[in-house]
Amino acid sequence: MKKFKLIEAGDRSVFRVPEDYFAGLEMQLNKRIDALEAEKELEIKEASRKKSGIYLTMGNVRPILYMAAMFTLLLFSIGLVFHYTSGNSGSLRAQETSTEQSIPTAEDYLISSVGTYGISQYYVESEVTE
Amino acid sequence: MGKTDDSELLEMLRDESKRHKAFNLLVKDYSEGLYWQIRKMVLSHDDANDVLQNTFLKCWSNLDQFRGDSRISTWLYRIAINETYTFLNKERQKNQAGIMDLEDTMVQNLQGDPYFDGDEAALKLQKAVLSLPDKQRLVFNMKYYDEMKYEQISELLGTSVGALKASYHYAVQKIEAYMNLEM
Repeated sequence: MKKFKLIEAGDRSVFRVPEDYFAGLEMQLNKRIDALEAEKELEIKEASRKKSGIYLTMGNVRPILYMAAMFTLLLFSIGLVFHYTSGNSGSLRAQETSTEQSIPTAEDYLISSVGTYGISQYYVESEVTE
Repeated sequence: MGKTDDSELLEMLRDESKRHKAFNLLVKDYSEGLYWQIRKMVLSHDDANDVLQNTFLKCWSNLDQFRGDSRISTWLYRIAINETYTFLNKERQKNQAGIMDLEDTMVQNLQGDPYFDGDEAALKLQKAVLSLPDKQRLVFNMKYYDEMKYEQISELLGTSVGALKASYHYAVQKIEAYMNLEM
């Protein structure tokens, strides 16, 4: 039986390609590239939105709220301590409150006017500008 | 019409406003050559189309990184070869649970392929070629089917001419032994 010899194998072009395949390839590729570029642009926009600090999740807000609550409590405690150790007796204090209008302190202003939310916003904004 | 000059293409690729036009020229000049290189490795037209498109998309994504250290054709062919290997490895992994190995599956698919014009003997030869390891098969295809010079193959694969000659010689021996066994 005749031995197979590769050099005598004959026709080497056994594969065909669909008609107009190469003509349509450029258009197909351009469509895919346009989709790719649009996706890339969306990712860049998303990344810049996160960086600007508008993008807040519970994950990064919770510690800020805890800090704000602690700070508020601290200020309130300091206010109380200053109020009761100002050197006046209880009766004198009663006189003051009945005869004079109490002047709000900086702590009172912070707690009542700005509030916890305002304090937390301060920390968000300060993180962005750092 | 001949291929666009490498230096002209490189200049266009570096200019963001001309990059897309340069890319289309790359597709026009190199898609056919790349396609056949891929096709002979993956056998099916649909798979060759997927790998070819992935090659060009990878080329687009990495245009910034091409410094012109090698010829553009060399760079493109290397991407195509890597994409082909990646495709074959993925298919092998997918096929692991099957009864037949990947090579048998590929030959079986070839039998019903409308874009395969070979007879029984040609099918047997494809099976023999598929029995070679991927890299050796690539060298064989480039030498036997494309009649490329060893120096060209060496530039593409980064393998010495001597190693390529040895690889091709053993590939031919294996194929002939396989065909004579099956006869």
